[in-house]
Amino acid sequence: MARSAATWKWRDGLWRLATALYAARVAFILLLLAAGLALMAASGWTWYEARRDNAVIAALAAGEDVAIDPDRASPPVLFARAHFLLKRDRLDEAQLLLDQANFRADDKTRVAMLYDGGNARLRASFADVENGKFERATSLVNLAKADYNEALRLDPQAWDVKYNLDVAARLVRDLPVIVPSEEPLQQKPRKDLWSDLPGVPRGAP
Amino acid sequence: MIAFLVGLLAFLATPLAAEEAASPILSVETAEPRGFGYFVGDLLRRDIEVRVAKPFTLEGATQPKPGRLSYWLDLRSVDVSSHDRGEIRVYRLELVYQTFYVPLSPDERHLPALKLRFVDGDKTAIANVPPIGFVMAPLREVIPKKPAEGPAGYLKPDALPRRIATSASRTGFSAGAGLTLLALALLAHHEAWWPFHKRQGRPFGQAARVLRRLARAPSEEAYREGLRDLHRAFDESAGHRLLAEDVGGYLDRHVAFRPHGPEIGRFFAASRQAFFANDLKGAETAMPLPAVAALSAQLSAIERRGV
Repeated sequence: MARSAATWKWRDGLWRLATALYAARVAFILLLLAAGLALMAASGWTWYEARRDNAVIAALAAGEDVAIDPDRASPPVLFARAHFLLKRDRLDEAQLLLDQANFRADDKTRVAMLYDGGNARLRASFADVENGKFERATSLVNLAKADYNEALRLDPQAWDVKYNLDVAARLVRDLPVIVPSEEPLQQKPRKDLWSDLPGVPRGAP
Repeated sequence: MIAFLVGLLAFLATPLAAEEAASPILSVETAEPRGFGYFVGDLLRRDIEVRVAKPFTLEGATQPKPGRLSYWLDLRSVDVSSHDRGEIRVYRLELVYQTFYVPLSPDERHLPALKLRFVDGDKTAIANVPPIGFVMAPLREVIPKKPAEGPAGYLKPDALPRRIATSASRTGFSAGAGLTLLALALLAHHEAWWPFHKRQGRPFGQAARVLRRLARAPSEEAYREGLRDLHRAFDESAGHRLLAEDVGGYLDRHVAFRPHGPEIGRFFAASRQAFFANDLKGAETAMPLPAVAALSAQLSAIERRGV
């Protein structure tokens, strides 16, 4: 008897809850409306931005010299512009974009940019070797290796990066840095050596 | 050289980390990475477990720090944890190295030895972790074929810029639009807006909409039509023709409308005056059109809440 009363009470509570929820249904509808509008606005904005960026990327790929704002362009656009510049041996301009990408691009884009930067430097060094500018070529190869190393730090499994680093490393071998020893290499001549010698040299005055 | 060999012999002769009987370093165990099959850029993970007697603690300064160790080796991460097991404290070091060495032929390299210092006040004890060797392999043959297009042909091609994928944002946009439309449809149904304006069960909503329009341009004709509209709403709500005498019973059946009983009574009085006594002017003074519109709006709101 008591149990059935409790059950009845419980059912009554549930019924009341359902009624209250039904009475407040307009609030749920408005919540749904707000969620729908927010989702639409957010994804609509990203879609619009992606379309705009894709137009720039396509133009750069077609060979148009489209200027971009390095501070505000999205990472894929930075990469597309850097690729465009590297293909035309404008390494210094591309380096600016790479520095910018280091701040805010995702790892995948950064790896691609570092890899392409290393490749461009290596190709430039080949040209320098042919022209006999060996010093410039050496520094370019070392910069390329630094780029590849940085790319491998971000993605240890980037096989193309490993391969090209192998090519670069065979052009200019890495050598251990010789750390200057704290002890002087050449000892000062000892003054007390003579005292150990038997006798004192004698000679004619 | 001789000193080195002597040191090596001494090292081999004594078991690891048991230099003295009273040493607080109870054991040094390492889980080593495999010793072969590494290419440039690969990671090596070395786990070290040192058991020391309490209250010796690992000196922070001797703990390895992430960073560049040499021109070919990085220590990427160091993860130190410790827990107590009775009188023993167990230190776990998880070291991840990355090698940048480019071998010409398979070549052995070494992860460096570590000296971990444990201190307890003035007393110190050192746990020696030996170096560990591993063999690295080259990625290319020693003398590769000369490519036709010159030395640039040795390189793998550039990574190409790719278009940004828009499918996710397109899907999100469609889903958002769908949700918005659904919510608008539900709202229209709830508020009896178009296309649900003729919806059953919302007579006062319909009347309220008409009266709002009529109240904007008041005239005798508009007043008469407004009264008729609200009457129609009452009739539909009651299920039969509702006269002034039936209002009491009607309010008993529709309890939610009861707070507006006086206003409803005033409406029926005004309507009687207008239609039966033909005194439109008097009726309008008794209950002007905006008041009728307001009443129907209030009733419509109650009706929406569900009676």
